[in-house]
Amino acid sequence: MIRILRADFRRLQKDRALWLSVLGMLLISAGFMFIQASAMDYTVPLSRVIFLPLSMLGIALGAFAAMFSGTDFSDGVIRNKLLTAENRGSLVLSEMIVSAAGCLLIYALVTAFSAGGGRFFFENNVDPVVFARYFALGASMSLAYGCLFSALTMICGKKTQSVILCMGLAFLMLFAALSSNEVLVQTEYRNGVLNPHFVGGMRREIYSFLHDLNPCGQAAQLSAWEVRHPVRILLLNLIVILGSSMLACLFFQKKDIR
Amino acid sequence: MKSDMESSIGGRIENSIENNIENNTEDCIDNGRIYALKTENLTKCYGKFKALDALSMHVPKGAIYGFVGRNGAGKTTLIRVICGLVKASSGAFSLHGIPADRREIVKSRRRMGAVIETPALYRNMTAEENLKQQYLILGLPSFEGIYELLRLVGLDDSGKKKVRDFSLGMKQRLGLAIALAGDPDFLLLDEPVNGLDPQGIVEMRELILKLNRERQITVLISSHNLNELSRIATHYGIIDHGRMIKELSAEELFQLCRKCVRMEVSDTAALARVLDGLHFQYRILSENMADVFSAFSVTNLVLALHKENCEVLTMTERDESLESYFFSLTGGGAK
Repeated sequence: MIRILRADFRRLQKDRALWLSVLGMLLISAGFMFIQASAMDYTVPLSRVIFLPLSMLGIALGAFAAMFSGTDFSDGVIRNKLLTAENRGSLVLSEMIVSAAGCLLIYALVTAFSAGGGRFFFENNVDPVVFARYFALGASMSLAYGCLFSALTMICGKKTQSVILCMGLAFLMLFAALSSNEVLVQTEYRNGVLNPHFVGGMRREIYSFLHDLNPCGQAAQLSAWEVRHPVRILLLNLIVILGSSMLACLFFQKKDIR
Repeated sequence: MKSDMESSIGGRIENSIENNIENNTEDCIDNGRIYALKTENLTKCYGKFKALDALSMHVPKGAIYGFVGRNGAGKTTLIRVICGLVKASSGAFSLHGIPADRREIVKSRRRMGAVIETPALYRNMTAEENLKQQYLILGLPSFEGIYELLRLVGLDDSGKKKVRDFSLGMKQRLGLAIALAGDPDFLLLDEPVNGLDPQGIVEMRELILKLNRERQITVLISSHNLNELSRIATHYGIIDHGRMIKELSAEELFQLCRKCVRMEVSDTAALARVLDGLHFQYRILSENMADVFSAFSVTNLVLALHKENCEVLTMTERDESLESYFFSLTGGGAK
């Protein structure tokens, strides 16, 4: 496993999909900052800008993870790896670890860019402790994204289909997050009148749970600088990471490689 | 034909196998023969379709084993099963004497290099970078030997050119270099000359022979190009519909394929008496058909047969090639 990890980390450094994803996210981040700085007629606090690009992170990570792991299938190098791997499980895990590390790197660079660049244009209201806590949550979200997309690619086994599948899932999660966010932002009373759009009770709990489970929902909470259940989010990300790893190992064990 | 096959192939089989017997005591030994690969009733089903149907195969160590079969006969499936890319539905195989169901098979696979269908290469990397990746995958301690490998396959001047800009021949050669990266003693090559130009085919043939002679690498080559295969193979396995039809050595094939005159006569017993008397080599095929391998005077033979009351009905010169032998076994194509 260590051998394949070393080989994959070396490949990651030179991977074009990684650096294109970073570039794309930096451009999105710069675009968001420009809109916030120019279009708003009030002073925007930095806390509202730092994690704003994360709403689009899933799409970039989906493209990257599918391209990175899918290349092994499209170029056939998975055969060389299988010929030398101790077992298929170790191959899957090393592939997922490197993909997740790539996702983490993209997230870290984009957040550093937003936080670093945003200090010059926005009011710095960021408490370093809260930032560190939210940054850790974002990191776990990126790892969950990475494992999920990498697992999908390993199970799918075809690069083009994987890119479509992962980006499709990313868009689906984005729309689901928008929908759940729309429900959860409604207050029980509006202007002293009962809000007809307010959802309460068990339904609200379910929406809240799905919003926390969905990495895009987590991104929405981070960009709003208001994370309601940080511990639950961490646990859910851990479950997604472990679950997708186990599923990928299970499916890949029986997969016929072309 | 005889001088080609007997001197180059026959001699090579003995030398290579003897060398390998001395060097490897752990290998699969069966009736005094050492096998790099042995399969027993190997079956692979895709739904109801049997890609491999109880296939048994024996690849002697040190051999160049030509694996012959039509499209879809199961050649690539077998190679995939051996490489661990596909799991067999039933049956067993052993690599260097280690059964596939044992954990140690991983070590056996590391002694193996393979090029399956298209070479497995990163398209956005150079030849050198691809080899470095393979060295890391194999866990080799340094990148030493990469230049020698590139020179061996004639890619030492490929420089910074990316694989996506390589010709098919260059890709095939780089694929072979990658297969050789772990210093394997068993090479599996699936259609290695596919898409190569005549010059590339000759170079590939020379390279395979060199690896077999100088490094004692056992080579299994699956190919459609039977004439090309007959120039290098020391052993053959003919597969059809997932079943092994025939396994034979190049010498046995030479005996089967050598030039002869096929005679149709009224009485082969009389023919046999006459041919024995003339000390001719022959083979009786049926009640009135025989192959005569020696050169002879037609008039003398016909007169001798006439004295035995044996009538000569037809006489045809035959020169069977691997191709025609293959078709006679599989029952297809041109006769």
